[in-house]
Amino acid sequence: MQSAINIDGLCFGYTSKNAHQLILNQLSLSFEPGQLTCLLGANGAGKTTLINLLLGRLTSQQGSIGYFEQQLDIKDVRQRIGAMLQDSSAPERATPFELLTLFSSYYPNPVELSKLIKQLGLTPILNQQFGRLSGGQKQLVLLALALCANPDILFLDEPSVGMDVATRRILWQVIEQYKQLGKTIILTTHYLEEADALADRIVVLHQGKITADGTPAQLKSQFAQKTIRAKSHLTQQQITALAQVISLTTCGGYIEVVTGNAAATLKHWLTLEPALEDISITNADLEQAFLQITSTDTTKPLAQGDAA
Amino acid sequence: MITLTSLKHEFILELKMACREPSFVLPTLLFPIMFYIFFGILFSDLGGGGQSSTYLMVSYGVFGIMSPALFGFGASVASERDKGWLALKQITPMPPLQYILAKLLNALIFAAVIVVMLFTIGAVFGGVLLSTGQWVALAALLLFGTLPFCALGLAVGFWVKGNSAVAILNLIFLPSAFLSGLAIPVFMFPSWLQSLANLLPPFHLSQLGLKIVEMDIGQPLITHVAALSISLIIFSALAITGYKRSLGA
Repeated sequence: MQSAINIDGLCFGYTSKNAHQLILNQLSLSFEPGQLTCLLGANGAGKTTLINLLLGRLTSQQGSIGYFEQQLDIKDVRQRIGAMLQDSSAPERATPFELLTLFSSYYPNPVELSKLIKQLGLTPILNQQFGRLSGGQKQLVLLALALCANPDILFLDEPSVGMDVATRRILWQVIEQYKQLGKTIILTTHYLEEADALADRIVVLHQGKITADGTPAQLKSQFAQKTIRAKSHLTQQQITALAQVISLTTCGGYIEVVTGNAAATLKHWLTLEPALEDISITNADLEQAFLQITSTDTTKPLAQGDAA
Repeated sequence: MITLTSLKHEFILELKMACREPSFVLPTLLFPIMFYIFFGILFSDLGGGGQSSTYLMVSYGVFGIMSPALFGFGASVASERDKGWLALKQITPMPPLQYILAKLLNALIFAAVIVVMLFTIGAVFGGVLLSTGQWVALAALLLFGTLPFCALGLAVGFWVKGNSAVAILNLIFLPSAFLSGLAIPVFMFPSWLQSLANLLPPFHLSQLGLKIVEMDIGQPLITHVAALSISLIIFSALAITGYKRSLGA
Protein backbone atom coordinates (compact mmCIF):
# COMPACT_ATOMS: atom_id res chain seq x y z
CA MET A 1 0.00 0.00 0.00
CA GLN A 2 1.08 3.56 -0.68
CA SER A 3 2.54 5.26 2.39
CA ALA A 4 0.82 8.43 3.56
CA ILE A 5 4.12 10.11 4.35
CA ASN A 6 7.64 9.15 3.37
CA ILE A 7 10.52 10.82 5.16
CA ASP A 8 14.00 10.32 3.82
CA GLY A 9 17.24 11.49 5.40
CA LEU A 10 15.61 14.46 7.11
CA CYS A 11 17.95 16.87 8.93
CA PHE A 12 17.00 19.96 10.82
CA GLY A 13 19.01 22.18 13.11
CA TYR A 14 19.24 25.66 14.52
CA THR A 15 22.39 27.67 14.02
CA SER A 16 23.20 30.17 16.71
CA LYS A 17 26.28 32.40 16.92
CA ASN A 18 28.82 29.76 17.75
CA ALA A 19 27.04 26.44 17.65
CA HIS A 20 24.94 24.41 15.31
CA GLN A 21 22.38 22.44 17.23
CA LEU A 22 21.07 19.46 15.33
CA ILE A 23 17.47 18.68 16.28
CA LEU A 24 16.79 15.96 13.71
CA ASN A 25 19.61 13.86 12.40
CA GLN A 26 19.21 11.86 9.16
CA LEU A 27 15.71 10.76 9.99
CA SER A 28 14.03 8.25 7.70
CA LEU A 29 10.53 7.04 8.45
CA SER A 30 7.21 6.38 6.79
CA PHE A 31 3.64 6.53 8.03
CA GLU A 32 1.05 4.07 6.77
CA PRO A 33 -2.69 4.58 6.17
CA GLY A 34 -5.00 3.05 8.73
CA GLN A 35 -2.28 3.12 11.32
CA LEU A 36 -1.82 5.20 14.41
CA THR A 37 1.83 5.95 14.99
CA CYS A 38 2.80 7.35 18.33
CA LEU A 39 5.92 9.46 18.55
CA LEU A 40 7.49 9.17 21.95
CA GLY A 41 10.47 11.00 23.27
CA ALA A 42 11.60 13.23 26.08
CA ASN A 43 11.16 17.00 25.74
CA GLY A 44 13.63 18.22 23.17
CA ALA A 45 13.84 14.86 21.40
CA GLY A 46 12.58 16.47 18.19
CA LYS A 47 8.91 15.38 18.13
CA THR A 48 7.37 18.81 17.72
CA THR A 49 10.07 19.84 15.24
CA LEU A 50 9.27 16.76 13.18
CA ILE A 51 5.55 17.59 13.24
CA ASN A 52 6.21 21.20 12.26
CA LEU A 53 8.32 19.98 9.34
CA LEU A 54 5.57 17.58 8.27
CA LEU A 55 3.02 20.40 8.43
CA GLY A 56 5.24 22.66 6.35
CA ARG A 57 5.66 25.15 9.18
CA LEU A 58 9.42 24.60 9.08
CA THR A 59 11.65 23.84 6.13
CA SER A 60 14.22 21.10 6.39
CA GLN A 61 17.86 21.74 5.58
CA GLN A 62 18.39 18.30 4.13
CA GLY A 63 16.35 15.29 3.13
CA SER A 64 12.85 15.00 1.75
CA ILE A 65 9.25 14.53 2.80
CA GLY A 66 6.84 12.98 0.30
CA TYR A 67 3.09 12.91 0.84
CA PHE A 68 0.75 10.35 -0.73
CA GLU A 69 1.86 10.27 -4.35
CA GLN A 70 5.39 11.60 -4.36
CA GLN A 71 6.09 15.31 -4.83
CA LEU A 72 2.64 16.51 -3.86
CA ASP A 73 2.99 20.17 -3.01
CA ILE A 74 2.45 21.19 0.62
CA LYS A 75 -0.35 23.54 -0.52
CA ASP A 76 -2.30 20.57 -1.88
CA VAL A 77 -1.38 18.47 1.13
CA ARG A 78 -2.96 21.09 3.41
CA GLN A 79 -6.41 20.24 2.03
CA ARG A 80 -5.97 16.69 3.30
CA ILE A 81 -4.48 17.18 6.76
CA GLY A 82 -5.88 18.24 10.09
CA ALA A 83 -3.96 18.99 13.23
CA MET A 84 -4.20 19.69 16.91
CA LEU A 85 -1.05 21.58 17.76
CA GLN A 86 0.63 21.83 21.11
CA ASP A 87 -0.12 25.17 22.84
CA SER A 88 -2.69 26.11 20.24
CA SER A 89 -5.94 27.70 21.16
CA ALA A 90 -8.82 29.59 19.55
CA PRO A 91 -9.97 33.20 20.04
CA GLU A 92 -11.85 33.64 23.32
CA ARG A 93 -14.71 35.66 21.84
CA ALA A 94 -15.72 33.20 19.14
CA THR A 95 -18.16 30.33 19.66
CA PRO A 96 -17.42 26.73 18.67
CA PHE A 97 -20.14 26.92 16.02
CA GLU A 98 -18.60 30.02 14.43
CA LEU A 99 -15.12 28.50 14.52
CA LEU A 100 -16.30 25.25 12.95
CA THR A 101 -18.27 27.07 10.24
CA LEU A 102 -15.20 29.13 9.42
CA PHE A 103 -12.80 26.18 9.32
CA SER A 104 -15.17 24.10 7.18
CA SER A 105 -15.21 26.91 4.64
CA TYR A 106 -11.45 26.47 4.15
CA TYR A 107 -11.73 22.95 2.73
CA PRO A 108 -13.07 21.64 -0.57
CA ASN A 109 -14.64 18.53 0.98
CA PRO A 110 -15.29 19.26 4.64
CA VAL A 111 -17.04 16.85 6.99
CA GLU A 112 -20.71 17.27 7.69
CA LEU A 113 -20.68 19.63 10.65
CA SER A 114 -23.87 18.36 12.30
CA LYS A 115 -22.40 14.84 12.41
CA LEU A 116 -19.10 16.04 13.82
CA ILE A 117 -20.84 18.11 16.48
CA LYS A 118 -22.91 15.10 17.54
CA GLN A 119 -19.94 12.75 17.47
CA LEU A 120 -17.92 14.96 19.82
CA GLY A 121 -20.89 15.90 22.00
CA LEU A 122 -20.44 19.62 21.33
CA THR A 123 -24.14 20.49 21.14
CA PRO A 124 -24.46 21.96 24.68
CA ILE A 125 -21.47 24.29 24.27
CA LEU A 126 -21.97 25.20 20.63
CA ASN A 127 -22.94 28.82 21.23
CA GLN A 128 -20.81 29.60 24.25
CA GLN A 129 -17.72 31.74 23.88
CA PHE A 130 -14.55 29.68 23.58
CA GLY A 131 -12.90 31.57 26.44
CA ARG A 132 -15.60 30.39 28.85
CA LEU A 133 -15.17 26.67 28.14
CA SER A 134 -13.30 24.26 30.41
CA GLY A 135 -9.88 22.92 29.43
CA GLY A 136 -11.30 19.61 28.24
CA GLN A 137 -14.09 21.28 26.26
CA LYS A 138 -11.57 23.54 24.56
CA GLN A 139 -9.50 20.51 23.55
CA LEU A 140 -12.61 18.86 22.07
CA VAL A 141 -13.37 21.99 20.02
CA LEU A 142 -9.78 22.02 18.77
CA LEU A 143 -10.12 18.34 17.90
CA ALA A 144 -13.29 19.16 15.98
CA LEU A 145 -11.41 21.89 14.07
CA ALA A 146 -8.71 19.36 13.18
CA LEU A 147 -11.40 17.03 11.85
CA CYS A 148 -13.21 19.72 9.78
CA ALA A 149 -11.06 18.96 6.77
CA ASN A 150 -12.13 15.32 6.79
CA PRO A 151 -8.37 14.76 6.77
CA ASP A 152 -6.47 11.78 5.40
CA ILE A 153 -3.69 12.52 7.85
CA LEU A 154 -4.49 13.62 11.37
CA PHE A 155 -1.78 15.11 13.58
CA LEU A 156 -2.46 15.07 17.30
CA ASP A 157 0.30 16.79 19.24
CA GLU A 158 -0.40 16.22 22.94
CA PRO A 159 -4.18 16.15 22.42
CA SER A 160 -5.19 14.93 25.85
CA VAL A 161 -3.49 17.67 27.87
CA GLY A 162 -6.15 19.22 30.12
CA MET A 163 -8.76 16.60 29.26
CA ASP A 164 -10.80 14.95 31.97
CA VAL A 165 -11.66 11.25 31.86
CA ALA A 166 -14.91 11.78 29.97
CA THR A 167 -13.44 13.96 27.23
CA ARG A 168 -10.44 11.66 26.88
CA ARG A 169 -12.83 8.78 26.28
CA ILE A 170 -14.45 10.75 23.45
CA LEU A 171 -10.98 11.45 22.01
CA TRP A 172 -10.07 7.78 22.12
CA GLN A 173 -13.37 6.77 20.45
CA VAL A 174 -12.89 9.27 17.66
CA ILE A 175 -9.33 8.09 17.11
CA GLU A 176 -10.52 4.47 16.83
CA GLN A 177 -13.22 5.47 14.33
CA TYR A 178 -10.73 7.38 12.22
CA LYS A 179 -8.31 4.49 12.19
CA GLN A 180 -11.04 2.22 10.90
CA LEU A 181 -11.69 4.65 8.04
CA GLY A 182 -8.14 4.03 6.86
CA LYS A 183 -6.79 7.40 7.96
CA THR A 184 -3.23 7.99 9.02
CA ILE A 185 -2.87 9.29 12.56
CA ILE A 186 0.29 10.67 14.09
CA LEU A 187 0.10 11.14 17.85
CA THR A 188 2.48 12.51 20.42
CA THR A 189 1.63 12.13 24.06
CA HIS A 190 3.14 12.18 27.50
CA TYR A 191 0.67 9.57 28.71
CA LEU A 192 2.26 6.22 28.06
CA GLU A 193 -0.94 4.34 28.85
CA GLU A 194 -2.51 6.33 26.02
CA ALA A 195 0.25 5.31 23.65
CA ASP A 196 -0.07 1.72 24.83
CA ALA A 197 -3.83 1.68 24.33
CA LEU A 198 -4.08 3.49 20.99
CA ALA A 199 -0.90 3.03 19.02
CA ASP A 200 -0.39 0.43 16.32
CA ARG A 201 3.19 1.47 16.22
CA ILE A 202 5.48 3.39 18.51
CA VAL A 203 8.49 5.33 17.28
CA VAL A 204 10.86 6.52 19.96
CA LEU A 205 12.91 9.61 19.18
CA HIS A 206 16.01 10.41 21.13
CA GLN A 207 18.29 13.30 20.28
CA GLY A 208 16.87 13.54 16.78
CA LYS A 209 17.27 9.87 15.94
CA ILE A 210 14.95 6.89 16.01
CA THR A 211 16.02 4.64 18.84
CA ALA A 212 13.11 2.22 18.73
CA ASP A 213 10.32 1.42 16.28
CA GLY A 214 7.71 -1.27 16.72
CA THR A 215 4.33 -2.26 18.10
CA PRO A 216 3.75 -1.52 21.78
CA ALA A 217 4.05 -5.27 22.49
CA GLN A 218 7.34 -5.56 20.61
CA LEU A 219 8.70 -2.53 22.35
CA LYS A 220 7.75 -3.87 25.73
CA SER A 221 9.33 -7.25 25.05
CA GLN A 222 12.39 -5.69 23.48
CA PHE A 223 12.82 -3.55 26.50
CA ALA A 224 11.08 -5.72 29.04
CA GLN A 225 14.39 -6.10 30.64
CA LYS A 226 14.49 -6.57 34.34
CA THR A 227 16.07 -4.38 36.90
CA ILE A 228 18.05 -6.01 39.70
CA ARG A 229 18.58 -3.89 42.73
CA ALA A 230 20.95 -4.95 45.50
CA LYS A 231 23.64 -3.90 47.95
CA SER A 232 26.97 -5.00 46.59
CA HIS A 233 30.64 -4.76 47.49
CA LEU A 234 31.86 -5.36 43.97
CA THR A 235 33.34 -2.57 41.88
CA GLN A 236 31.32 -1.09 39.04
CA GLN A 237 33.69 -2.69 36.54
CA GLN A 238 33.07 -6.09 38.02
CA ILE A 239 29.31 -5.68 37.92
CA THR A 240 29.30 -4.34 34.38
CA ALA A 241 31.25 -7.41 33.35
CA LEU A 242 28.52 -9.74 34.66
CA ALA A 243 26.56 -11.78 32.13
CA GLN A 244 23.78 -9.93 30.17
CA VAL A 245 24.22 -6.60 31.96
CA ILE A 246 23.00 -3.71 29.87
CA SER A 247 23.47 -0.75 32.14
CA LEU A 248 24.17 0.14 35.71
CA THR A 249 23.24 2.97 38.02
CA THR A 250 23.89 3.65 41.66
CA CYS A 251 21.04 4.81 43.80
CA GLY A 252 21.52 5.51 47.49
CA GLY A 253 23.52 2.59 48.84
CA TYR A 254 22.10 0.38 46.12
CA ILE A 255 23.24 -0.67 42.73
CA GLU A 256 20.63 -0.98 40.01
CA VAL A 257 21.46 -3.17 37.09
CA VAL A 258 19.37 -3.42 33.94
CA THR A 259 19.73 -6.85 32.46
CA GLY A 260 18.54 -8.72 29.43
CA ASN A 261 18.35 -11.93 31.43
CA ALA A 262 17.89 -11.58 35.16
CA ALA A 263 18.56 -15.24 35.96
CA ALA A 264 21.88 -15.34 34.14
CA THR A 265 23.08 -12.10 35.65
CA LEU A 266 22.07 -13.06 39.15
CA LYS A 267 23.64 -16.50 38.90
CA HIS A 268 26.94 -14.96 37.78
CA TRP A 269 26.72 -12.27 40.44
CA LEU A 270 26.10 -14.73 43.28
CA THR A 271 29.10 -16.84 42.30
CA LEU A 272 31.27 -13.73 42.69
CA GLU A 273 29.48 -12.39 45.73
CA PRO A 274 27.56 -15.07 47.65
CA ALA A 275 26.69 -12.60 50.43
CA LEU A 276 24.78 -10.22 48.14
CA GLU A 277 22.16 -8.37 50.20
CA ASP A 278 18.70 -6.91 49.74
CA ILE A 279 18.05 -8.26 46.28
CA SER A 280 14.94 -7.22 44.39
CA ILE A 281 13.98 -7.76 40.77
CA THR A 282 11.42 -5.65 38.89
CA ASN A 283 9.85 -5.84 35.43
CA ALA A 284 10.07 -2.98 33.00
CA ASP A 285 6.72 -1.63 31.83
CA LEU A 286 6.34 0.62 28.79
CA GLU A 287 7.20 3.65 30.83
CA GLN A 288 10.41 2.05 32.09
CA ALA A 289 11.25 0.80 28.63
CA PHE A 290 10.74 4.31 27.35
CA LEU A 291 12.88 5.85 30.06
CA GLN A 292 15.62 3.36 29.36
CA ILE A 293 15.64 4.14 25.68
CA THR A 294 15.62 7.85 26.12
CA SER A 295 17.68 8.38 29.23
CA THR A 296 20.51 5.93 28.70
CA ASP A 297 22.33 5.24 25.53
CA THR A 298 21.96 1.49 25.25
CA THR A 299 24.83 1.12 22.84
CA LYS A 300 27.23 2.13 25.58
CA PRO A 301 26.78 -0.24 28.50
CA LEU A 302 28.27 2.02 31.13
CA ALA A 303 26.29 5.20 30.61
CA GLN A 304 25.17 6.72 33.88
CA GLY A 305 21.40 6.31 33.87
CA ASP A 306 19.56 9.23 35.28
CA ALA A 307 15.95 8.31 34.84
CA ALA A 308 14.52 11.80 34.65
CA MET B 1 -7.57 30.37 -3.40
CA ILE B 2 -9.80 32.93 -1.70
CA THR B 3 -13.47 32.00 -2.04
CA LEU B 4 -16.15 34.58 -1.38
CA THR B 5 -18.05 32.34 1.02
CA SER B 6 -14.97 31.72 3.10
CA LEU B 7 -13.96 35.38 3.10
CA LYS B 8 -17.50 36.26 4.19
CA HIS B 9 -17.31 33.84 7.14
CA GLU B 10 -13.88 35.15 8.04
CA PHE B 11 -15.02 38.78 7.90
CA ILE B 12 -18.26 38.25 9.83
CA LEU B 13 -16.47 36.33 12.57
CA GLU B 14 -13.86 39.09 12.85
CA LEU B 15 -16.61 41.66 13.15
CA LYS B 16 -18.54 39.66 15.75
CA MET B 17 -15.39 39.09 17.81
CA ALA B 18 -14.48 42.77 17.68
CA CYS B 19 -17.99 43.80 18.76
CA ARG B 20 -17.86 41.36 21.68
CA GLU B 21 -14.65 42.97 22.94
CA PRO B 22 -15.66 46.05 24.97
CA SER B 23 -12.03 47.06 25.52
CA PHE B 24 -11.80 47.50 21.75
CA VAL B 25 -15.23 48.83 20.81
CA LEU B 26 -15.68 51.47 23.52
CA PRO B 27 -12.41 53.43 23.19
CA THR B 28 -12.38 53.03 19.41
CA LEU B 29 -15.86 54.44 18.88
CA LEU B 30 -16.25 56.76 21.86
CA PHE B 31 -12.91 58.57 22.14
CA PRO B 32 -12.94 60.42 18.80
CA ILE B 33 -16.62 61.28 19.20
CA MET B 34 -16.18 62.42 22.80
CA PHE B 35 -13.10 64.53 22.02
CA TYR B 36 -14.84 66.09 19.06
CA ILE B 37 -17.94 66.94 21.06
CA PHE B 38 -15.81 68.52 23.82
CA PHE B 39 -13.20 70.40 21.82
CA GLY B 40 -14.91 70.80 18.46
CA ILE B 41 -18.47 71.61 19.54
CA LEU B 42 -18.82 72.62 23.20
CA PHE B 43 -15.62 74.67 23.52
CA SER B 44 -15.46 76.03 20.02
CA ASP B 45 -16.33 79.41 18.57
CA LEU B 46 -19.62 78.62 16.90
CA GLY B 47 -19.79 82.22 15.85
CA GLY B 48 -16.68 81.80 13.69
CA GLY B 49 -18.60 80.11 10.90
CA GLY B 50 -17.74 76.59 12.03
CA GLN B 51 -14.02 77.15 11.48
CA SER B 52 -12.69 75.15 14.38
CA SER B 53 -15.49 72.57 14.24
CA THR B 54 -14.54 71.90 10.61
CA TYR B 55 -10.83 71.78 11.37
CA LEU B 56 -11.30 69.44 14.31
CA MET B 57 -13.73 67.21 12.43
CA VAL B 58 -10.89 66.43 10.04
CA SER B 59 -8.34 66.03 12.88
CA TYR B 60 -10.52 63.74 14.95
CA GLY B 61 -11.48 61.90 11.79
CA VAL B 62 -7.82 60.97 11.33
CA PHE B 63 -7.50 60.22 15.05
CA GLY B 64 -10.65 58.09 14.84
CA ILE B 65 -9.68 55.92 11.88
CA MET B 66 -6.18 55.26 13.29
CA SER B 67 -7.52 53.38 16.27
CA PRO B 68 -9.39 50.48 14.57
CA ALA B 69 -6.54 50.20 12.06
CA LEU B 70 -3.80 50.03 14.68
CA PHE B 71 -5.60 48.12 17.42
CA GLY B 72 -7.92 46.01 15.28
CA PHE B 73 -4.94 44.70 13.40
CA GLY B 74 -2.08 44.95 15.86
CA ALA B 75 -3.64 43.76 19.08
CA SER B 76 -5.72 41.01 17.51
CA VAL B 77 -2.91 39.63 15.33
CA ALA B 78 -0.49 39.66 18.28
CA SER B 79 -2.90 37.85 20.55
CA GLU B 80 -3.92 35.32 17.88
CA ARG B 81 -0.27 34.63 17.22
CA ASP B 82 0.41 34.16 20.94
CA LYS B 83 -2.53 31.83 21.38
CA GLY B 84 -1.38 29.65 18.50
CA TRP B 85 -4.57 30.43 16.60
CA LEU B 86 -2.55 31.83 13.72
CA ALA B 87 -0.49 28.63 13.64
CA LEU B 88 -3.68 26.58 13.29
CA LYS B 89 -4.81 28.79 10.40
CA GLN B 90 -1.42 28.62 8.72
CA ILE B 91 -1.71 24.86 8.28
CA THR B 92 -5.10 25.10 6.58
CA PRO B 93 -5.39 25.80 2.84
CA MET B 94 -6.70 29.29 3.69
CA PRO B 95 -4.45 31.87 1.99
CA PRO B 96 -2.90 34.42 4.42
CA LEU B 97 -4.31 37.21 2.26
CA GLN B 98 -7.84 36.18 3.24
CA TYR B 99 -7.03 36.58 6.92
CA ILE B 100 -5.62 40.04 6.27
CA LEU B 101 -8.47 41.10 3.95
CA ALA B 102 -11.04 40.11 6.59
CA LYS B 103 -9.27 42.23 9.20
CA LEU B 104 -8.91 45.09 6.72
CA LEU B 105 -12.65 45.07 5.94
CA ASN B 106 -13.29 45.04 9.65
CA ALA B 107 -11.08 48.09 10.23
CA LEU B 108 -12.86 49.83 7.35
CA ILE B 109 -16.31 49.15 8.83
CA PHE B 110 -15.26 50.67 12.15
CA ALA B 111 -13.61 53.59 10.36
CA ALA B 112 -16.79 54.17 8.35
CA VAL B 113 -18.94 54.18 11.50
CA ILE B 114 -16.62 56.73 13.12
CA VAL B 115 -16.57 58.93 10.02
CA VAL B 116 -20.36 58.90 9.69
CA MET B 117 -20.82 59.77 13.38
CA LEU B 118 -18.27 62.60 13.26
CA PHE B 119 -19.70 64.04 10.06
CA THR B 120 -23.25 63.90 11.44
CA ILE B 121 -22.26 65.65 14.65
CA GLY B 122 -20.20 68.20 12.73
CA ALA B 123 -22.99 69.00 10.28
CA VAL B 124 -25.85 69.01 12.78
CA PHE B 125 -24.25 70.53 15.88
CA GLY B 126 -20.99 72.04 14.69
CA GLY B 127 -22.24 74.14 11.83
CA VAL B 128 -19.83 72.48 9.38
CA LEU B 129 -20.78 73.56 5.85
CA LEU B 130 -19.21 71.61 3.01
CA SER B 131 -20.19 70.83 -0.57
CA THR B 132 -21.30 67.29 -1.41
CA GLY B 133 -18.01 66.80 -3.25
CA GLN B 134 -16.05 67.81 -0.16
CA TRP B 135 -18.01 65.45 2.12
CA VAL B 136 -17.49 62.53 -0.27
CA ALA B 137 -13.82 63.30 -0.86
CA LEU B 138 -13.16 63.61 2.86
CA ALA B 139 -14.93 60.32 3.64
CA ALA B 140 -13.05 58.50 0.87
CA LEU B 141 -9.74 59.97 2.01
CA LEU B 142 -10.28 58.88 5.60
CA LEU B 143 -11.19 55.34 4.53
CA PHE B 144 -8.20 55.03 2.18
CA GLY B 145 -6.09 56.66 4.85
CA THR B 146 -6.55 53.65 7.13
CA LEU B 147 -4.24 51.60 4.89
CA PRO B 148 -0.82 52.73 6.19
CA PHE B 149 -2.06 52.39 9.77
CA CYS B 150 -3.46 48.91 9.09
CA ALA B 151 -0.04 47.95 7.74
CA LEU B 152 1.65 49.46 10.79
CA GLY B 153 -0.74 47.59 13.11
CA LEU B 154 -0.07 44.37 11.22
CA ALA B 155 3.69 44.87 11.48
CA VAL B 156 3.46 45.44 15.25
CA GLY B 157 1.17 42.41 15.54
CA PHE B 158 3.69 40.15 13.86
CA TRP B 159 6.76 41.52 15.62
CA VAL B 160 5.59 42.19 19.18
CA LYS B 161 4.29 39.65 21.70
CA GLY B 162 0.58 39.75 22.63
CA ASN B 163 0.68 41.62 25.91
CA SER B 164 3.24 44.20 24.87
CA ALA B 165 1.54 44.89 21.54
CA VAL B 166 -1.21 47.06 23.04
CA ALA B 167 1.35 49.04 25.06
CA ILE B 168 3.57 49.57 22.01
CA LEU B 169 0.56 50.58 19.91
CA ASN B 170 -0.50 53.14 22.50
CA LEU B 171 3.04 54.49 22.51
CA ILE B 172 2.80 54.89 18.76
CA PHE B 173 -0.81 56.04 18.58
CA LEU B 174 -1.15 58.84 21.13
CA PRO B 175 2.22 60.63 20.70
CA SER B 176 2.08 60.46 16.92
CA ALA B 177 -1.49 61.77 16.96
CA PHE B 178 -0.56 64.72 19.18
CA LEU B 179 2.71 65.47 17.40
CA SER B 180 0.89 65.41 14.06
CA GLY B 181 -1.33 68.24 15.24
CA LEU B 182 -4.53 66.26 15.67
CA ALA B 183 -5.28 67.80 19.09
CA ILE B 184 -3.56 71.17 18.84
CA PRO B 185 -3.35 72.47 15.25
CA VAL B 186 0.10 72.10 13.72
CA PHE B 187 0.33 75.80 12.76
CA MET B 188 0.45 76.59 16.48
CA PHE B 189 3.57 74.41 16.91
CA PRO B 190 7.07 75.92 17.17
CA SER B 191 8.87 75.43 13.86
CA TRP B 192 11.13 72.57 15.05
CA LEU B 193 8.05 70.65 16.16
CA GLN B 194 6.42 71.33 12.81
CA SER B 195 9.36 69.76 11.00
CA LEU B 196 9.09 66.74 13.31
CA ALA B 197 5.41 66.44 12.35
CA ASN B 198 6.54 66.11 8.73
CA LEU B 199 7.93 62.68 9.59
CA LEU B 200 4.61 61.35 10.85
CA PRO B 201 1.95 59.71 8.64
CA PRO B 202 -1.04 61.12 10.62
CA PHE B 203 0.22 64.63 9.89
CA HIS B 204 0.19 63.99 6.16
CA LEU B 205 -3.24 62.37 6.22
CA SER B 206 -4.71 65.26 8.21
CA GLN B 207 -3.10 67.81 5.87
CA LEU B 208 -4.72 66.03 2.91
CA GLY B 209 -8.06 66.20 4.68
CA LEU B 210 -7.55 69.87 5.54
CA LYS B 211 -6.64 70.54 1.93
CA ILE B 212 -10.14 69.34 0.96
CA VAL B 213 -11.66 71.90 3.33
CA GLU B 214 -9.01 74.51 2.37
CA MET B 215 -7.48 74.76 5.83
CA ASP B 216 -4.09 73.04 5.34
CA ILE B 217 -0.74 74.75 5.95
CA GLY B 218 -0.05 74.85 2.23
CA GLN B 219 2.40 72.04 1.48
CA PRO B 220 2.03 70.50 -1.99
CA LEU B 221 -0.39 67.60 -2.41
CA ILE B 222 2.32 65.35 -3.79
CA THR B 223 4.38 65.61 -0.57
CA HIS B 224 1.55 64.18 1.50
CA VAL B 225 0.63 61.46 -1.00
CA ALA B 226 4.28 60.43 -1.33
CA ALA B 227 4.82 60.38 2.43
CA LEU B 228 1.76 58.20 2.98
CA SER B 229 2.69 55.86 0.12
CA ILE B 230 6.23 55.46 1.43
CA SER B 231 5.00 54.70 4.94
CA LEU B 232 2.52 52.18 3.52
CA ILE B 233 5.35 50.43 1.68
CA ILE B 234 7.70 50.40 4.68
CA PHE B 235 5.03 49.14 7.10
CA SER B 236 3.86 46.48 4.63
CA ALA B 237 7.42 45.25 4.16
CA LEU B 238 7.84 45.06 7.94
CA ALA B 239 4.55 43.17 8.21
CA ILE B 240 5.55 40.68 5.51
CA THR B 241 8.94 39.92 7.09
CA GLY B 242 7.17 39.62 10.45
CA TYR B 243 4.66 37.18 8.98
CA LYS B 244 7.41 35.05 7.47
CA ARG B 245 9.14 34.98 10.83
CA SER B 246 5.92 33.84 12.50
CA LEU B 247 5.72 30.77 10.24
CA GLY B 248 8.52 28.95 11.99
CA ALA B 249 7.81 30.17 15.50
